[in-house]
Amino acid sequence: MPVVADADLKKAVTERFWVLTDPEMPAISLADLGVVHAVDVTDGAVRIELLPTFLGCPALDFIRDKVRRDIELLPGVEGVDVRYVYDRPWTTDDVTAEGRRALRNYGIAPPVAPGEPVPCPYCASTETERSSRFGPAPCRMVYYCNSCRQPFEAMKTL
Amino acid sequence: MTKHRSAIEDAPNQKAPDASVADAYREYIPLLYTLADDELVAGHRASEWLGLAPSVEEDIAFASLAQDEIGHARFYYELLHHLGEPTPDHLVYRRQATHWRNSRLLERARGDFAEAVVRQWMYDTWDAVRLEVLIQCPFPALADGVRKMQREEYYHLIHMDAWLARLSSGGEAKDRLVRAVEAVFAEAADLSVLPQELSSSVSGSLNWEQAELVFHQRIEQALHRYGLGNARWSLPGPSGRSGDHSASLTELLGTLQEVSSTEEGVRW
Repeated sequence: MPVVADADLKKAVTERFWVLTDPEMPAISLADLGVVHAVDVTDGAVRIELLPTFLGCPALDFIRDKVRRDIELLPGVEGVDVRYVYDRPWTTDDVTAEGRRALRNYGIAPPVAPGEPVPCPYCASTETERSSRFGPAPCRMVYYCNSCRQPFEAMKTL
Repeated sequence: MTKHRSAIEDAPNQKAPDASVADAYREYIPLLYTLADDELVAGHRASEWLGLAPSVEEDIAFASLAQDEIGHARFYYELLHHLGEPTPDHLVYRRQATHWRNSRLLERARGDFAEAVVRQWMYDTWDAVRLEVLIQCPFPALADGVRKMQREEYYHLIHMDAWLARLSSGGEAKDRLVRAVEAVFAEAADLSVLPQELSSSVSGSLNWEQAELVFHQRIEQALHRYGLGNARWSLPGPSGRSGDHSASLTELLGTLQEVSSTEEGVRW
């Protein structure tokens, strides 16, 4: 008999995703980023399936190892298997409302529908223009706000 | 606030790779090598523009594009490994030029920026068509990855298209673009060639001839739109798809494998 019931352990694992973050966007939890695809706990063995945001994202291995090391510390865990799956593609619609708020507070404009203006995360003005479709991370673009005169990053819509 | 909770599914208990399932898809191995090697070599050449592109934004754009392509290559190499081929690191760092299956177009040494744009545009156009075919293939693990890549590749193609529009407006830029189109056409013949080792059951299921027609049509339409003349598709010559490469690939691998070849098991 496992020391901690599987259902309780699954709840504890799921809650960790509120706290664990993407190293390149520490303001947003993995749960709010929408990358946690599935969690299974059987006799204390934890299986976690994550969705990659971008296949070329250099943070993928880092996130996987960080999740594994973190979950291993939970009481009752008898082993952790974390893997990326491609059953369905992660899209920017997977980012939660709370995640969008967190991104904005961090200075990254959340993804918008194609053709929509990108509001400045600092002053909310839509007088913005794209400086480059590519930014410092695969998931982001570079914009400039003509109202508050700040450059800012915007998440690509996938 | 509750969205993620409902989005997290129960992980299926049994999802370990099943050897017999993997065997069923081994027929795709020759095709996967062409996909993986194309993306790796294209990504490596794109990365060479970091620090040399016409603007700092473009440095970042090419670096980011390189990162995407190499990420896609890694997906394909991992799939190959899953089908029983050597590890991704072995495939990238230990293989001699004659074992690579990328198109010769992609290994071409870096020319001017116009050439980099035209080459990347030509490749991204072909890759988009190819992914449209592969997303329908009966190999679920491949189709799933392709669905993911399509969304990322979209940004590459519109970026290259924006450059074509900009450079084709006239003057020296247009002259260089015209020269670049000529140079790229001379090497593009093996881009849509399927590897000889591919079984007829796989090649027959892919509808490659139609893909090639669609590819040609898209290129010709864009050339017309930007006033760059007619397409000059060259006749099939030496093909990277059968390991017949130019000295440029040897040069590229010399750089790529320089550290790993210093000693067995070296880490960096």
